[in-house]
Amino acid sequence: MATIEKLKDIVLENDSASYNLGYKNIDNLIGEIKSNTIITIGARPGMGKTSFLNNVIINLLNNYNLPTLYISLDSSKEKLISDLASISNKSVKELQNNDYNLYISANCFNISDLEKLLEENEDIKVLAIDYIQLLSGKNTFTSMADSYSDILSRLKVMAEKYKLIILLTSQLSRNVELRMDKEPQIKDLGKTSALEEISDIIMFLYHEDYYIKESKNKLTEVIVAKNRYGKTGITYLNYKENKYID
Amino acid sequence: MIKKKDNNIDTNYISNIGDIYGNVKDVTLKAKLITIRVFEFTDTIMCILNFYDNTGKISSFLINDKDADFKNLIKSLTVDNTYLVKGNITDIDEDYISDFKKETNANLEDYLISGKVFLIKAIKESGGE
Repeated sequence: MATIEKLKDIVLENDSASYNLGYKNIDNLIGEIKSNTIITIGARPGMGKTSFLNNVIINLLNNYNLPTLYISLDSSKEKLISDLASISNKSVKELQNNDYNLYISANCFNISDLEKLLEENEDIKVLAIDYIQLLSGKNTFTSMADSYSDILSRLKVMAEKYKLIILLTSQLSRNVELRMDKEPQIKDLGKTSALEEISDIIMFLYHEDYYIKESKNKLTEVIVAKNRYGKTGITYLNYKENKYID
Repeated sequence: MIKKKDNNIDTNYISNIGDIYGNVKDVTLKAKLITIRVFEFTDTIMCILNFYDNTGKISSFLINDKDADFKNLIKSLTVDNTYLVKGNITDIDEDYISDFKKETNANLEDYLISGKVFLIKAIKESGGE
């Protein structure tokens, strides 16, 4: 019944390609995530962006177990597995024994290597990169900005080609520290607008008590600064022992 | 899988049938069910549901694996009731209709009331509000 299967594929493919990040407050704000979406998580160092990414990855694996490729450029594979295990309440052994559909690479430093990796693993549905500024590109560009823009545009192509959800963490400019108001803004993503342009959703993490020591606000502020498909705004998460909770 | 009746359907984007032009994604319609035709295959159930509102008529496909939940969903559908249906609108081409006839001996044209087809992703009763 090829015609029936064809019709079913069309309907079910469209239906299955919507996901939540696993946080009620954030999901209510940003809505369902579809495949071919790039989400950027930006924060100054020490705000917990890697930890937040790890929590989102575990949520997605727990809820959907989509084949996930995690490119860790800032932590060793052992450290990352240990962190993910503590969030998921699984042992390191269980994680390594592939309880999850998770593939971790800590030695893919180049966009061309990443392209090859995805070509060889076409089943990958979620790609996480921590953090994007550590991914290198071609040496043929005359400026770092051009090379960075090329990396990002190639990521955009990959998202479309493989119908990926791409989660990127990003460093923010030091200019944040020079302002009176330390809450991150889109312009803090860097000197070029390339990351802003390719991102469908941009979230920033901010801790008021990081800057204002006497602050009693211990919550993590999640600022949704761009959302191509829905609302923007601010919501909050609790952070305790490596875990973010609503 | 097809979302069941209790799933939330975003009601912010309700369109009138008469306003639909071209192939569009993620449309929500509020319309009255006027006919149901069920086709059962080995592993799959396909329904052709025809809807109308005061601006026009449209045919829709509701299709899923043949499981108990889906059978219950179909059983619960009632002609003359009003539903919120969410999905994508697409044109159905003549090749598809002829291939379908070859495989199933059923002539889709006998059941479709429009050339445009609504591919249902979620459905829930609206209570005629």
